[in-house]
Amino acid sequence: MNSKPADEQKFLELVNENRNRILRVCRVYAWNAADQDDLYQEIVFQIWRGLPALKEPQFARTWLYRVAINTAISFVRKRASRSDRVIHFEQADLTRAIEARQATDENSDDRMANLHSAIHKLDPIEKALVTLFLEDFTYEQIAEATGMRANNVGVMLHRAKKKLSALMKEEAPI
Amino acid sequence: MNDDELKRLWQEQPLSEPAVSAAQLVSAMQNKMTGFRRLLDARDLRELLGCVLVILIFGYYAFNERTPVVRVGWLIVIAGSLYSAWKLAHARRITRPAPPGATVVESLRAELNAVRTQSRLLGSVLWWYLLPPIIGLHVATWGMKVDLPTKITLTLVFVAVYAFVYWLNRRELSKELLPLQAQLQSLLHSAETGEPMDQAHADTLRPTVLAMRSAGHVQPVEFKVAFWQVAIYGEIAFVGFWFFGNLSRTNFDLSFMVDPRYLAWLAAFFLAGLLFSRLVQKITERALGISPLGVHLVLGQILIPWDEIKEVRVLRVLNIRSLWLIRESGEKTIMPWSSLERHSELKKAVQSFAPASHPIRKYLSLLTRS
Repeated sequence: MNSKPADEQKFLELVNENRNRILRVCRVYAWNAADQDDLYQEIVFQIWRGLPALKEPQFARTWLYRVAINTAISFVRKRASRSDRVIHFEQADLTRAIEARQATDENSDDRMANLHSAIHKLDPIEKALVTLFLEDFTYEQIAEATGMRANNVGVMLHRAKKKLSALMKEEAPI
Repeated sequence: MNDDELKRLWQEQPLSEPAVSAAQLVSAMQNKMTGFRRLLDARDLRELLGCVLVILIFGYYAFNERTPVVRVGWLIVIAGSLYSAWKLAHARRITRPAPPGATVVESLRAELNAVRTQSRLLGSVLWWYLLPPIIGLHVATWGMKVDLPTKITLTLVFVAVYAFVYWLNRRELSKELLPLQAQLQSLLHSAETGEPMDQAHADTLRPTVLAMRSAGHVQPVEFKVAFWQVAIYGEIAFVGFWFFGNLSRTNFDLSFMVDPRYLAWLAAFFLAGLLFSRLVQKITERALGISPLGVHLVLGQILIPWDEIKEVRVLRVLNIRSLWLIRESGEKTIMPWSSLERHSELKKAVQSFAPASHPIRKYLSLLTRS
């Protein structure tokens, strides 16, 4: 990205307006504070790199989620291969790490911890769909952001929500 | 909890904001971008310098060498290095990553394409990366005016080093790239069809995943490359060592070809060629597997399902016919064909397992031996 003041301004506005959205994506895909910070930086960097290609500002939100989710899926895979293991999307150790992280977060409540723990057990595509759904995207907007067909989005999201609900019940404290 | 409650809970979750000012963020991004560009420039520069170094060193040898055979050897090394560099650069050019704002599906497709290209490169590393320089080194070594034990020692050292590099590449392929490829294929399939990932693994005949899954359940009929096919080229190489080695020793006096002392060595080289060919044949065990699922390659680690092969073309190199298996996406994979042993059993396996109108059946007529 050419570092013109106008570009910098555009970048800062976009990041500031969407900081919480980006942070929420980071919490979905990264399971400890250090990884969440790294992922946040990586997403912001990809936004910086890709922003000159964003010609239509009205699609900035969809574009931003695309960048965030692509970067996150790639980040998880790279982290997994760096630590010399194939990613298994339902790893017990991963869940324990999330729960430990949630437990130390003073502001978290049980329901939020429960939701995060359940989301972490979904596969990367389901995570993307559920994240976009929770961010109030319609099926058409999800399809636009992910490149999937709208009817596939409906089917997969329905299944992911059912899975999420079952996992949350499983995880709920008795 | 209903959908609205879930969304509210999600959107109102407390988040710890990164404590970075606007100026710090812009500065950090500028630094990171500079680092990123430097990394790419450094990689390109490193590869260019590697090439220049090979050209300078071996070019110097070739230029100052009086023996034509040795000179040819050094020139082969240079040509081989240039070809390897071109191959890597070309692979990088055709597998550019998706831009940051690409959709998830586009991004997965680009990443899968890059991993597949890397897998193919590593799968064929012997032919484009290792063989050209090792041929050049051997031609030069055997053309040099040094004693036979030195030549043999150098040959063994080169073979050992290159065998180790080959083993490292194969290890990387099977331990890293193939599982990653399977994972990406499964993710992409899930995103494209809406099927859950587990079902995509089980039901859709995706190549590597299924190859791994089926390893314990489906036993393909396996074939190795016929001994005589290896021996033809093994003997050409070993008799070539003898010929060019003696040619340079005798200062191009061809009378050594009828000298009994030299002919005794020819017999030894011929036997070494047979031994070498046997070893190579041993390595090519499980070169091809045929099963009801499809074609198994690379010691059964890669499976191309029958229904993914849309077209088959023949590749002829000297007397050997291999087949290109072409998928709908245009991806091509080469498999040995006429060089395999047990042609009648191979025919039977394809006739039994390949679908009735499969394009591979057209090439059964190329299998002549029984």
